[in-house]
Amino acid sequence: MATLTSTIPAKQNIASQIWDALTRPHITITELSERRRATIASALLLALAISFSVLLIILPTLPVIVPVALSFIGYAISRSQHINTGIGLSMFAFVLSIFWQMAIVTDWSSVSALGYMVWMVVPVVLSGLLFPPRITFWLVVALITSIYALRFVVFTNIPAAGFGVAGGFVTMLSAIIALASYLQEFYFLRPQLDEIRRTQRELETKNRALELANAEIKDFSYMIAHDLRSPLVNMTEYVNEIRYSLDTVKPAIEAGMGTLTTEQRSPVQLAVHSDLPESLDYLETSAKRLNNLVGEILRLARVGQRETTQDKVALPALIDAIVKRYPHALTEQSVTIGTLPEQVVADKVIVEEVITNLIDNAVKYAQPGRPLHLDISAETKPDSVVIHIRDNGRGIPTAENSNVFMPFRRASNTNDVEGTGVGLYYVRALVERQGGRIWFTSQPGIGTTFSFSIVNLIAQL
Amino acid sequence: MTLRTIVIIEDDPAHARIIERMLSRLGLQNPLLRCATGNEALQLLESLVNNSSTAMAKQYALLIDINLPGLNGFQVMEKLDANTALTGIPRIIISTSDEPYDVRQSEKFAHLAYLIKPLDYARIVELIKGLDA
Repeated sequence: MATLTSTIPAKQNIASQIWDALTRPHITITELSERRRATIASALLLALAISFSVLLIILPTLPVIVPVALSFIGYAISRSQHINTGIGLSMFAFVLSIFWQMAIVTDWSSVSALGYMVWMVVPVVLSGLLFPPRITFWLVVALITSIYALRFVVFTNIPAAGFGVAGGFVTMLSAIIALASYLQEFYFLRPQLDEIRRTQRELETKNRALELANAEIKDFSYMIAHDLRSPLVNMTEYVNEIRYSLDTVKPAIEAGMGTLTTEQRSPVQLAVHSDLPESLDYLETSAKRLNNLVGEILRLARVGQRETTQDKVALPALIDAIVKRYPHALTEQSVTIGTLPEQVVADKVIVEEVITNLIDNAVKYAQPGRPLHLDISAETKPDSVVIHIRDNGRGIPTAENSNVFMPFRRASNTNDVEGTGVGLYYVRALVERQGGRIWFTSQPGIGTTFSFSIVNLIAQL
Repeated sequence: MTLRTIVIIEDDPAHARIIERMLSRLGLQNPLLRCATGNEALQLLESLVNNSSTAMAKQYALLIDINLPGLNGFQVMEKLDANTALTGIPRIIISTSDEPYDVRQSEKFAHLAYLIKPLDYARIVELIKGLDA
């Protein structure tokens, strides 16, 4: 829904201020063509009400108060959000006046029929331009009502011929109104429809662009998977090849040691027994680390591609299964599981991935020397389920809290543990993918609690 | 009986070399040939065709990498299958990818195994020895 933003013009002369005050549409009218219609309606109805009242005052034989009052009331209502009611009421007033006049002057020879036609056609056509098509119905009702109002309230007796004339005029007027509505459709509805169609086409184009981008990402991930991984595999394999060759060469070197002086011997010993194996080890761990990183990036790239599903996830069983994957770190005594909702409607793969990663982190970043304790609980809220995973691990240094969900960032107290720094970034992407949130609280040296929400679709129905 | 020749269709020379080293280290004595592209392999095999197709199927075995420049591994197998003389040659598919898409593609072609790098060389030796058991 568009909100109204009004910009106050820098300077406005008196004339435009008055114009503004008299014709500015009601504040809740936000749609552009509606506002246009409201402005034109106000201006026209005011002009017609004034001119009509002037005219009727000049012809003192007519009771002027009722229709003139009605037309001004109609104008006032048209300035509110009920434009159409205002227009309808004003039209009723005009038509009432016209038929009033007609009924008084039943002798057609004394007044130009054309004159009357113009009098009736002008406001009706103009108003017809402003009406939404459904108002046509109300206008016809107004016409018929005004005829009967005349008949029963003001005059006891209208000649039959007069009725026939009135009926003829009603038919003609209806035709004019229908024509006016058609014209109105042209100037107001068509542009709106065109606008809608244009927006739709834009959306389609954007959608296609997004699909293409998605396909490109898929190809990119594929490229990562193959082209980056292949040399990494080679690296690990050739490290082992070098180790193998080294082992082949060692006996010969050992045998030849005897021919070297003590001075010559120690660098050779160092190279063969210390430096070479160490270099190979570091080469290998670097390749493995790179491989893990590639794996995580690939996982991350896949998060946005897979459609989330709505599964019935049996939470207690799932958490139990995950905990059982760490039989050494998480014994029965070291895990407390609170009351969990039996079932939650969410993407099972995502929920499993998130909980697995969080528990894995708790195990990895336990405080060295302190037995790990996990406390898993859940909170059921009206439209979501929040799961808390609390550990008594090493905690997260307070100054580094903002880095927790950033990619490739690890806390300064994690140097003893392997990790790529992508895990929580990945977890957050997963949680947010199905509309949830993830947050944490931590006390360094004491422990951390990670909490995430699952939007529970069952509760929402 | 002469041992069948193993044709390794792999564009990465580092990887092809490791395969050769590991297979011979594990005791495989079959002659090994290397082709760097799918086209090279097809040309080679087509030039070796005798009259009888069973001979080819008994004389050769293929290790086909999926990720090749030009024709990929799947396309190579398509072309092999289109040639009655070559379609019977046993083949092992090797790849870095465990993507379901690739595994599904591989199911369209007869093959002994779909192995993911780093390869289980002992398994390859086992499969090849099993061909002539």
